[in-house]
Amino acid sequence: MRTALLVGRVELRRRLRDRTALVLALGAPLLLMSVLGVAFASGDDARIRIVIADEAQSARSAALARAMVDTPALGREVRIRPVATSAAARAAVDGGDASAAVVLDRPDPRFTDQLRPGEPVVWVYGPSRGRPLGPVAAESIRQAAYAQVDILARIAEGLRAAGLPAADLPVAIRDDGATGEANLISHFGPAMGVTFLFLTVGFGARTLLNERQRGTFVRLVAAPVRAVAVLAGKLGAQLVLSFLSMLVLWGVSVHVLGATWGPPGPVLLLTVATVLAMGGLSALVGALARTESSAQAAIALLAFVLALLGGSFFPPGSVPGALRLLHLVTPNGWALEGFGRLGIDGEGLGAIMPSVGVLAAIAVITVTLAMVRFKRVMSL
Amino acid sequence: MPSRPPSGEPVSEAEPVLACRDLRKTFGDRVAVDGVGFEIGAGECYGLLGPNGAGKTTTISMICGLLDRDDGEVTVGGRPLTTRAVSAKAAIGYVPQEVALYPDLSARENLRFFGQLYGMSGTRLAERVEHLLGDVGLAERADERVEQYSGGMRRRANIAAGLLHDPALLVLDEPTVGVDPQTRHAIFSMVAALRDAGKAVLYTTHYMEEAERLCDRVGIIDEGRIVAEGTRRQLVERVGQRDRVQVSATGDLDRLAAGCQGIEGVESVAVVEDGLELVVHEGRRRLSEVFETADRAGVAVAAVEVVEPDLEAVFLHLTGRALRD
Repeated sequence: MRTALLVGRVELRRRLRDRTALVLALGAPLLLMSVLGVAFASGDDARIRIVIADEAQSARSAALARAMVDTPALGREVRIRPVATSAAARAAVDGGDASAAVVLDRPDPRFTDQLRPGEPVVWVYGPSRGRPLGPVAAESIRQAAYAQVDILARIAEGLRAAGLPAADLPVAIRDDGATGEANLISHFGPAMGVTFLFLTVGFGARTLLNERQRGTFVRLVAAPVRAVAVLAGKLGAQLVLSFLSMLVLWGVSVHVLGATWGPPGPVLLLTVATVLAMGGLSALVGALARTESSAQAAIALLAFVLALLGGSFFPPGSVPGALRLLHLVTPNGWALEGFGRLGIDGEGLGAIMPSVGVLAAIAVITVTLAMVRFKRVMSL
Repeated sequence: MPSRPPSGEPVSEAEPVLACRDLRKTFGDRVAVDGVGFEIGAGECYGLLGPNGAGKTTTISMICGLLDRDDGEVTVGGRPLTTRAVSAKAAIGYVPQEVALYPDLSARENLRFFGQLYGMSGTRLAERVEHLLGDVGLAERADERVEQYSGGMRRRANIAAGLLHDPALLVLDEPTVGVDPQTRHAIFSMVAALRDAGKAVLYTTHYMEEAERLCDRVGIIDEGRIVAEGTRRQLVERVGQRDRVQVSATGDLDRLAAGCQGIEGVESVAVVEDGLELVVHEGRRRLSEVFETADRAGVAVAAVEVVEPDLEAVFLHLTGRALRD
């Protein structure tokens, strides 16, 4: 244990002096998280949370509201819950509890030419201005939101599923000047963190190969210490650096960019599990490589393949269903599933346990294999 | 006072510091080391001399517990050593062929770290680090990163890292490869001082001059086997090598040659362009008789050079190849 701590401390000191490592661990994920958050931001979270208020109070509007809440046709990425009044709906959006509100209102005189008597008007209310990204970005985000998520189309889909004549339903979007905010940072924060975790630990794994070529590893194992302790120290340092990187991303995305990651305890637990899983996988790739350059190439390639498959580069709502299944063949996907449950769905510890379990299993398997492999290849 | 490894167990002066017997190692079909064995006592420098690829590094890797051996045994200070014998490694100071230091740490940081790996700490470690930094001439630049050092400075720091824990056995793997003459001289002085201080030194090299200059005994290794072992003189005599005495002279060289034929120990005499060349046993002891013979023959001797057989010649004789082949 003493050896592992000793080696880990020196390794961490070296990594922190290395600007490349710092860029990988902090700079790049922060930058990409912000850029992707703006580029894809939808004015709503990636998993759309919608509140619905039935102000019309008619049989037709009640059926519509019920259909929207109950129907599975809206897809998993759209969650709808009823609220009592339009004021409560506005409050939910303004307070960040909902991405948008759907109000089934009494007919509006402004839209009478579109309405039949007695039909409710549906309007969508988006979050207000003045959020961190500013009005210009927010406006483009709002436009993207409507295009991407197509909430109204899904509402119509829900209506059809409920046997209601959606085509006849007069629907109008009352913009009332509302604009969106980039809460997709709640998705892209963890997503970029997870992606760069892989690169950060992989960077450390290939330094082991570099040490072998340079001879420092031989000097380490010539000392009266166990090789496994040396390896544990080196891997541990990369994991610590990765964990710190996730913490910084968490802090910046929440306090500067207004994202939501969820309750701290479960976020920490999921972060630890993610760091271990991604770290183990990355270390294994490094251990299987024959040279430092081949390790570098393999880790970079795999990092981006996993990020793509795992959904790190896209909001979950924008990915077709078949591709969504691929998310869960990657540790990235399991990690983002958990972070989504916490930050986007607002769920708690119980919701992330499947993710934590899978990530922990990946960690145990990959770390063990990496250690065994490293021990073997590090002999002369 | 016997040397004492950090583990606290004294190394008995009666037994060799290092004893290895019948070491064998194969990599696939290739036999890298085949039955190597030798001993090194306290205060002795043993040279393992052989060309690149002869098995030197594989041998010392097994001795230092870096590599599992297929057969044979190694004891350091009487304790058996394997790759898993962690405590026995504490008696060995290993200096790899490459500069095995972290370039992004300073010399002081490197030494402190490697010292801590050997269980050193506190004042003892700090004093030892400062002492060694002074010894290798790096005290004034100890806080600079190693990557900013010259090649020679890195080499000296590399050796210092192997000496931190005051090992009973120092293993140096070709420490002068690629160094400038000044650094080479500094390394020679350091190794000689360590040997004189009672350390057992295992020194591998493919430079014959280094083995001759530094080592009390030399093992000549080729294709994984030690083909001869002993002091330089023993090795030379073992293969029947003789000195060559080159006499530059003017006058009746044939008469001088005839006279030299009668000198004891002279095996052959040849008249060359500007003098004679004699093959002689213990050439230096025959020089006075050569001068007397020249005087009697009326030959003016301008210069005499005695060329003693070297380990290069021994290696050539034993293997049919030059050391640098």
